[in-house]
Amino acid sequence: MKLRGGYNIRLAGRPAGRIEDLPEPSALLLPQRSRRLRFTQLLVKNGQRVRAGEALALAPEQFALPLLAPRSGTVRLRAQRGHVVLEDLAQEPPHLPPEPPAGGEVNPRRQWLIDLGAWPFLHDAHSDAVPDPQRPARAAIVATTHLEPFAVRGDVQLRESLEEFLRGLELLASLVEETVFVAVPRSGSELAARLRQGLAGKERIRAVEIPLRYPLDHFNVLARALGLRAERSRSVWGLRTEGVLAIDQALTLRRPVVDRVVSVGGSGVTQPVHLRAPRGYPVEAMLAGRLLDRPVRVIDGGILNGEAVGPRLLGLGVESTGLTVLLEPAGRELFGFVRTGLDRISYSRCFLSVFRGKYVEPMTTAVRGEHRPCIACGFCEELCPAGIMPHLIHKLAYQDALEEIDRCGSLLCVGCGLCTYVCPSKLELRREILAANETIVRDLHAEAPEQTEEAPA
Amino acid sequence: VKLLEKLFDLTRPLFEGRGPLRALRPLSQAAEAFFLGSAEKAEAAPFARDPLDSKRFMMMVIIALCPALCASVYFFGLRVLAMMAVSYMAGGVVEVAFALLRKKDIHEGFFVTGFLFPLVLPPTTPLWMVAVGVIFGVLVGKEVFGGTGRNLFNPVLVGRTFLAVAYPKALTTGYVIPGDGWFGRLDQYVSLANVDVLTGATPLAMARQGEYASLWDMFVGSIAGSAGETSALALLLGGVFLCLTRVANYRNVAGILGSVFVLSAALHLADPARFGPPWWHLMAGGLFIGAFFMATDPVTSPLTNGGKWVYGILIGALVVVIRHFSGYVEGVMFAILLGNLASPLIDEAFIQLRIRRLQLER
Repeated sequence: MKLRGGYNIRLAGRPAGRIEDLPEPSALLLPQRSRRLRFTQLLVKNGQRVRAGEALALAPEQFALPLLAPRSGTVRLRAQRGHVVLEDLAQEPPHLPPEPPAGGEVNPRRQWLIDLGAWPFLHDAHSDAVPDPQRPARAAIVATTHLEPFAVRGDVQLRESLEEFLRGLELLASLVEETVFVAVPRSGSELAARLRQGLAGKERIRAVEIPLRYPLDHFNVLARALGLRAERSRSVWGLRTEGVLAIDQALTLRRPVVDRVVSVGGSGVTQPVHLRAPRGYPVEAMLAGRLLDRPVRVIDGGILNGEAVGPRLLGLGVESTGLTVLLEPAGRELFGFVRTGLDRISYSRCFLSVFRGKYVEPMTTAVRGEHRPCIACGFCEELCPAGIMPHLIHKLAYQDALEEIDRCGSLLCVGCGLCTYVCPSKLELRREILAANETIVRDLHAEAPEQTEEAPA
Repeated sequence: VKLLEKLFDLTRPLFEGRGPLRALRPLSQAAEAFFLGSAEKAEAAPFARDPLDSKRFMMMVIIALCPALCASVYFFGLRVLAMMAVSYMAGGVVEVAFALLRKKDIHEGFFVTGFLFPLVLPPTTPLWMVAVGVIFGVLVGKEVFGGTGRNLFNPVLVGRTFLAVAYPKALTTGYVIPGDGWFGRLDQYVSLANVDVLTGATPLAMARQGEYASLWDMFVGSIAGSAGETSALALLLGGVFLCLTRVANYRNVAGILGSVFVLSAALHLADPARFGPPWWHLMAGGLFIGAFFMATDPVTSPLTNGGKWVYGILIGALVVVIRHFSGYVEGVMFAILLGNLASPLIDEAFIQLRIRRLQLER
């Protein structure tokens, strides 16, 4: 398997290796939108009492996936904009949806996954979209690690539920036509050995080793490396450890998947941790007592392609893998550029920290330099896991040469953000490429919708 | 630091918006960036950024050139420092003037150009000539193309070529016998007036007559030549440092030095009487300074890794051809300029190959 690029940034704030339980909240704030899902069609009325596991809203554009009530409680619809609020929470046995009919449009097991809230854990490996429940899946790619700083770690979840994970894998294998590829980090840890042992001899489940470099755990990168091309009639699924555990919970235990393990990490947190929390858990309560007493920025997701949490997000989203908190830069340094840099971790070798072994750097949100023209250092190209040339696309974008950009393979970009992270000229390469791609898909491929990146060449 | 921050905060309104000094905004920004660095925060993902910025990047080149500067001052005296001061001032004026005209930031790239330029001139070049050369180099070599990052040719070499063509006499006879002993020429200010120090010939010129300078002298730098190009040792120290810090790409350097070595060796084997030994040619003239510090300029060399090898080999071959089969005794300058010219073409070929491979994978 050929994997290229990637880089393990050594940043301070990696969440610790155990999972803490959070106290039951007094109210849940469920955001109606997350990265891919828009729960716009409400099914409940203001003041209505619902039971845990009942659907509160549907996402009409994403195959009518339901937004489940994580706990029993009373619905407040207009209390917070963009959120469904649940108050007066109670611990009750969850509501179970009716048994799906065997002859329906969707395979009954898949319908269970949808009804019990496990479907949003699935990704189309090529486009990252929510996979179509009616479309057969050719294969599935399971990434047991999540290498983006600081998403929830796969090993932490595996350590406490390896058995469930292996059981979930077999259920997953029964849902796809060919193979389930399990990406296991190339690591000598005892857990990796146990995982490999557990996978050995399983039919239609294949372990593939990946190096521990972000973003080589990305589904699209793995799909390309495994030679799984996009097909029109079948999809390739991508999911992570928590996704396999969700499948197991839905199909073996028949329980709605409403709690999830999330991470709270980054340089702005006193003690980076993993937390088990129901969806909609108030962000404020999650962070209370964990933040450093300095200006910080809270990011939903990881450092490299998360989204800044504005006033919009009050509770933990359906798809949120965790929160990353970064310090805002404090003060400025006199003659920063002539410092020895013993305390700076850089991809280049221009700082004395190259002699420092295992040091990690507490990052801030500073851009750390002035915007300059591209000096063609080639770092972006070296790191790019998709094998494209961000510096070239930058130049072409300057000339508005969309067709050229398309020809340079910009649609292969997985948006990992490494190019922008390393750029010494501080160019916003990720944003430029994604913006160009949006226009390309809209304008250039508009007449021939079949010819998008998902279609085989 | 706090005081400086206050100062910049206080004076900022003067330069911004409709402030009275708004025309000088690039200057105030450059000063602020120089002292305090950027205050900008990342607004979009990725939210953290690598600490390397272009100031640091350029500073690495200057650090790497310091051994060569020291060697140069030792062998050729204090005049080198005067040349450097003139080069910085004259080139700096052009850079700042263009930044003000364009209302863009002042770029750091000039610090390298200004440092490198006097080092490729004979140590007795008149100071006004240094100024004219660097102004021409920065203006025609860089600014007319749109400034740092957009130039086709290496500005240092454009400036030097201009001088070599416009004032051929000064640039071929201005060489000086290097100093020796404990202090070299550290206490001297050589010029065309102290005639006792002058000679007319660099080792490459003498080699045409069949006289080869000793390898050891060439390694240390105790030979006549341009101010900063003589000491192979100092340049090697700096060059290896640059390659290790990955500011310079080893592919360019290895391509050039490798092809010069192989081709000179082939010629030497064919006719030892006419062609010098390969080791000798490696250390002669401006090959090291050119290979380590000019051919590695990322802007004017190819972007692609394969292209970098081709570019290096092309330059190396041109050096050997010009040195042995033309009226010029030294060819590094022309070879690199020709290489610069070819680099977009070389890139185009490699990029097309790359794109074809990507499309197959898609």
